Amino acid sequence: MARTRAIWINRRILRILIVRDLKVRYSDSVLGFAWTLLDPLLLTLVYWFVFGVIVSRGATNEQPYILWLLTGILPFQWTAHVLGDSGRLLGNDAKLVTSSSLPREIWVLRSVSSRFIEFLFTLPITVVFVLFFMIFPPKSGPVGVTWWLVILPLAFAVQFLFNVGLALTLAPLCMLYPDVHRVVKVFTTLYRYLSPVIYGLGLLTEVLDRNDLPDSLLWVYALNPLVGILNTYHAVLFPDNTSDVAALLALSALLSALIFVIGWWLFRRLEPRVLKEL
Amino acid sequence: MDAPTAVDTSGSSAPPTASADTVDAPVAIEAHKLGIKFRRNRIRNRRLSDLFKEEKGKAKSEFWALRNVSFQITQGESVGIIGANGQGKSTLLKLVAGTLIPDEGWVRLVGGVAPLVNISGGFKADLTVRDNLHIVGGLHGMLRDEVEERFDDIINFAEVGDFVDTPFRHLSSGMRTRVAFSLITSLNEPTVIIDETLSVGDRSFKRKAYERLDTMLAGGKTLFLVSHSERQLQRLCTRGIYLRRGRVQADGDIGEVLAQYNVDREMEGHPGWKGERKKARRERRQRRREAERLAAGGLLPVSDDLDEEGEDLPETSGTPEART
Repeated sequence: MARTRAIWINRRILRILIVRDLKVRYSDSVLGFAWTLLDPLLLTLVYWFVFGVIVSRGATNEQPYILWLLTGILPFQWTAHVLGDSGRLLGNDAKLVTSSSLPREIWVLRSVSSRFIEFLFTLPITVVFVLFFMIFPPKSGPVGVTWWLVILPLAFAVQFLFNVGLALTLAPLCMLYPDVHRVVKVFTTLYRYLSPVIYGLGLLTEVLDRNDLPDSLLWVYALNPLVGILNTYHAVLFPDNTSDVAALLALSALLSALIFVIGWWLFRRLEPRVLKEL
Repeated sequence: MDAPTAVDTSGSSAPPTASADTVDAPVAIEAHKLGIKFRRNRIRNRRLSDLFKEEKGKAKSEFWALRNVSFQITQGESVGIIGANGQGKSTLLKLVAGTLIPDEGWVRLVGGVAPLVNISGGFKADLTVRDNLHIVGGLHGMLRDEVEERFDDIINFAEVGDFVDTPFRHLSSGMRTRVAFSLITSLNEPTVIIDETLSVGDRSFKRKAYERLDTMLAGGKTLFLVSHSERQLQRLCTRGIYLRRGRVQADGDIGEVLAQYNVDREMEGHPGWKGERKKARRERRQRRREAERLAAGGLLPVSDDLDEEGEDLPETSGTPEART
């Protein structure tokens, strides 16, 4: 508890660090802030081209597919960035970390928070696309926003908790065992396909039915906390392609809390050893 | 005294709070049976299962960099840490600054600390001097208004008035350390921690830097200094703590502790500082004679710098320098 209080006392410093992150990120390139928008937009276009045009797997489900991708990829990038950061968030700023006695969890929170803000900055892309499809309805039917929009903040909170838990677990492990960082890198790519980013739970249910498998397998799939979270994001625009939004989000919240507790414990435990390595 | 629990192996050093329990004895830094161990080889924990084992029993590759180190420093004291290379000086300093967590014992600091330890660490090369001052000042606990208020002083002291909006990386390395020194010494913390010789720019700035440290000391700040320079130690400190093989060998008046250290060094076959200084003086004299000879031949001007002792240390009044 003393730790939590120390972090709370230093929240002002956390804010300064986040501002610094954002300043640094946009200070040295010509396009600066535009990259925050361009990066995920280009990535989405690549996925849209591969899975929407070439494989055209979105032909029947999840239309318009580009919107489906946006609601999945943008939040997934948040977690992906946090995973990428976790390997170096203590090592990269070693000088800074070792020049102050701030509670070291601050460095984790800083990474997750600044990536969150970056994610928020990318949301206008989705808004623009939604508005576009509202004005020019696609052939597949009109696009509209459902009431799930209201619990969006809750989904953000759950994903935040999940990300903090992941980073708390991985940051010290990556410092002590450099191999972990490599595994994490590969896993992040795999994780994109394990999570409902390019496809939806509606499709999964269909696949299960077609193969005469019990629907309960879906709950095994949902042991990945991102499933419930991304499912909620999708539900805002695609109520037909998602399922059990509230129940799955609750499960995600529970799992995220569990990961957070493990991360918190592990971080405290490994902290002295990590500091010796810096 | 409820803050730290004694001999806490998890090494939590309890967030320093300026609580009321220090009114009668104004302690600034207190260390109790402090100990920390490192691995001798660079091979890290090889197995994941090590994570869940206590680090006991397999002590072969480990050594205690510090052990059983206890001391109490009252507010306003200036303490120098003395010892040869690798005897745990810097480690002790890191433990006091809270950037390492002890394996044994605890250390407690009352109030914050202004660490003059890798001072330009927090500065980002891509940001301007102004942004950096705000951010690093903030990291060390300065409020926005405080930075604003002291901004001009910091810039003037560092002599970088024309570079306020220049990216930090375009500054010369001397300027960078000057800015960092100027900022850190503007922190309003009761304790100042200094690692090794202050390499802050040229002579004139060095003089200014020492003057500032003097002012801070006169203002009642606590100083905790690690140095190899006998002159610097004598100049700034009143008390010395002599570390040898990770243990406190002596603790007392700086002159006496230094004398003991020198005796130990001689006995171990190393030339003590006195010897080194004699040698240095001899060499300087030689160089000077050489220069004079060359000058006589019209080759080089005589530098009046050469015979001045301790070139990197400005003399100011009131130093206990009459030892030679």
